[in-house]
Amino acid sequence: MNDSVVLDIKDLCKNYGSRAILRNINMQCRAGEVFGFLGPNGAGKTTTIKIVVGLLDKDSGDVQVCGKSLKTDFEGALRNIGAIVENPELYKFLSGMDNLKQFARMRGIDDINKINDVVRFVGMTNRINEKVKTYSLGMRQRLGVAQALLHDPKLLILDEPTNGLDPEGIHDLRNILKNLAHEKGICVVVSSHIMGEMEQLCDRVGIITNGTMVGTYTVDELINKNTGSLCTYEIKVDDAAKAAQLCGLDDKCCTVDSEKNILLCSITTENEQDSIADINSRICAGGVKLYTVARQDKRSLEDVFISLTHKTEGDGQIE
Amino acid sequence: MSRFFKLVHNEYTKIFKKGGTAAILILMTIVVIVFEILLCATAEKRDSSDGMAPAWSEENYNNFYNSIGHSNDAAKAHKLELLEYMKNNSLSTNTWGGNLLMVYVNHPYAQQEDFPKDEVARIKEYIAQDDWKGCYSYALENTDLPEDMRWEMNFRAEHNIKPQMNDHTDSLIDKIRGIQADTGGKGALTQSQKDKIAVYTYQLEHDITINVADYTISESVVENTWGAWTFSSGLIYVVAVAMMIFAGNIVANEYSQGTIKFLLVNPVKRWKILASKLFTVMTLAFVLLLIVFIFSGLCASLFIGANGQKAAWLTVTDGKVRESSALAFIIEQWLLQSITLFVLVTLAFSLSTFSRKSSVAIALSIVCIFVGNTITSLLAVFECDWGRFLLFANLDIRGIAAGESMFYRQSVGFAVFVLVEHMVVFIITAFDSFRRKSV
Ligand SMILES: Nc1ncnc2c1ncn2[C@@H]1O[C@H](COP(=O)(O)OP(=O)(O)OP(=O)(O)O)[C@@H](O)[C@H]1O
Ligand SMILES: [Mg+2]
Repeated sequence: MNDSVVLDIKDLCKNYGSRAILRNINMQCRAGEVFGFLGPNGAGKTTTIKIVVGLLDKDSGDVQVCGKSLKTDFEGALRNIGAIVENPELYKFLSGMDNLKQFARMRGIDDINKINDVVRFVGMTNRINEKVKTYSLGMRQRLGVAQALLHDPKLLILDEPTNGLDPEGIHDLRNILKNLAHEKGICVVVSSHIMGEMEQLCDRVGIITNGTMVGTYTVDELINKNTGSLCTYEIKVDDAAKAAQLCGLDDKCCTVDSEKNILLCSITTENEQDSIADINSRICAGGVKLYTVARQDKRSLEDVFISLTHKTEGDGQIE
Repeated sequence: MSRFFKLVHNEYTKIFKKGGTAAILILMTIVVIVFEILLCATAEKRDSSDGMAPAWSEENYNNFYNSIGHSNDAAKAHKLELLEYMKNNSLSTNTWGGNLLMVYVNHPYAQQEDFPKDEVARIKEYIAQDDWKGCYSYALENTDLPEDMRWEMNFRAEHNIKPQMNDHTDSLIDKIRGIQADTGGKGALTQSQKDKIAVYTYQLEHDITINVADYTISESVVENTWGAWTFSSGLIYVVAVAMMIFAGNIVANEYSQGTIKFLLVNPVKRWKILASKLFTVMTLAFVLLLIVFIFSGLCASLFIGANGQKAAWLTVTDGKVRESSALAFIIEQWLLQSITLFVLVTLAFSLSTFSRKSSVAIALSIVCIFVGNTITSLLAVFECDWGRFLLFANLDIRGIAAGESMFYRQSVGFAVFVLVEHMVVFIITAFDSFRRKSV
């Protein structure tokens, strides 16, 4: 049951003028999972989400939510979605409760208990009758989540929900989202470019860069991904700058910490052993003292993310 | 359908819980109240005795008495006797009897025997019985009367209008006589002159003091309930200004507050959301209009009053006079004027869907009105006839109804058509732009 596809994006394309923002995006998100939608700035995450929730028109492709296509059954598809797109900007001059009542009316919910339940769920019971303009960012974020959950959606989409949350807020939100997905069987889609969070939160991630989908992976898959990825060695020497010249790697793959005289080398995992042996011998041959060589074991999602989305051309500028 | 009214409920909640709303409504109320106070204060309140014939004036008779007494009139003695009689019976010149007797007092007689003693005696009898009809027919047959008096007496006898000097029948008869005098007798009356005479005659026969149809925009009368109430329709522009602010806000605010995203992620089609906003603005405009209408009606009837006069709305079709209630006329005038309001509100509303800032939407609609008005007046000055198809040439419908159009060949029907057509275009473009808009 948990394997049913809730959000199905097929060959989605979007242009702004002559610029292609999304090129053939394909993505499936299932019930009961937290799906991380990752990509660097300007990759097209928000654009994709806006199309899914009907804020933006697509140029081609299809989006289905619970089997209902946005094209043919807009209201049916939207009925299954709860979303926060970008910032949780609600009506500041209304109280939290009045805001929720607005959404309840639009979604045909008459039961006040339903609203109270959601408020309790996000922990806002004590402040819900105050005006939203008196809320902190985190409280607004919670109200946004409450709004998104009001109609028991099958698909919850949050665009950068941790924006502006303190560590405790992030922690709470993480628990809320995991609970929703794992206990209630909702499909939760969260976009972000903060990898640490995603690593702890998501079951699967989809990576998008520059408008194209790189792939969809489970978190474990991604971390243990071998082919074509990089690993880092920390080399302690007496003259890091000189060692960097000697090692024979391209500038991008080695970082110099001249204070501590440490050289960080990224090398491909394919013939890892040979490469590091080669580097060692080059440094020694150049007359630099080599103290220690250590492989950094812990490969985080961040490394993988950077290696997957890193652009060698264009000098790191956003396209 | 019930979902639609829930959307409308949402819009009303947003309007009434927003801070600025109270300020706008209070300001509007103040303007309306000040307007009504000024109106009621300037309306000259007529004394209730004003409409009636003035009482007997001793002084007046003494003057006549003296002037005749010092003259060397042949029939002096008879005349003085007659004045004495009038004085004793309190017959003022403002009663029909007194008025008729004064004919004898003023007539120059060559000899004392010429004074028609028997005639006067008969007339005195009629007066004593208060039989004006009999008296008139007798006098018309036997007395040498001035021509205009003769005409009036004939007219009154013919239409059974009891003479009562200095009341409204007097001025109506004057008007009819005026029209007939203009044409120099019979035969040459135009259709509109005939219609006018028909209306005046109808007023006389049915004792209707006021024909509210006379209260056009160019002839504002504020000294009675109906005139003041009709005149108050100018307040529609105050409602229009307030409503243009609401209409300019209602879509653009969602953008400037950033709430548009939350509004549109709901399982409601965009056109339904926009339709609920339009419905909200229109119903709010209508309710405000109704409140102002009733309020000004109350002010007009409580503080100005009807002065005991009877009013009706008289129109002529095919030579036949049709009577409707005065209230119907006032409502019609207000409705005509409010078409303008609804057009302006629609203009502000559609601009609101185009801009992301409410202030821009409101400022733009005001600029539109000024620029549009200027261009239209220029076209009117240069006599470009197609100017009459422009929105701004047709906004002043009451003016057009009163024959004060900027262009030749404009009629109320034409103006309403142009306005409604503009409204439809505004609404269509608003829905189209809202449907396409990327958020
Ligand atoms: N209204 C617009 N007109 C033209 N281009 C736009 C518009 N909105 C977004 N873009 C472009 O679309 C691309 C994708 O933007 P998008 O907001 O989807 O990125 P993102 O992945 O959400 O980035 P971030 O992590 O910074 O939020 C960017 O290159 C952006 O410049
Ligand atoms: Mg974004």
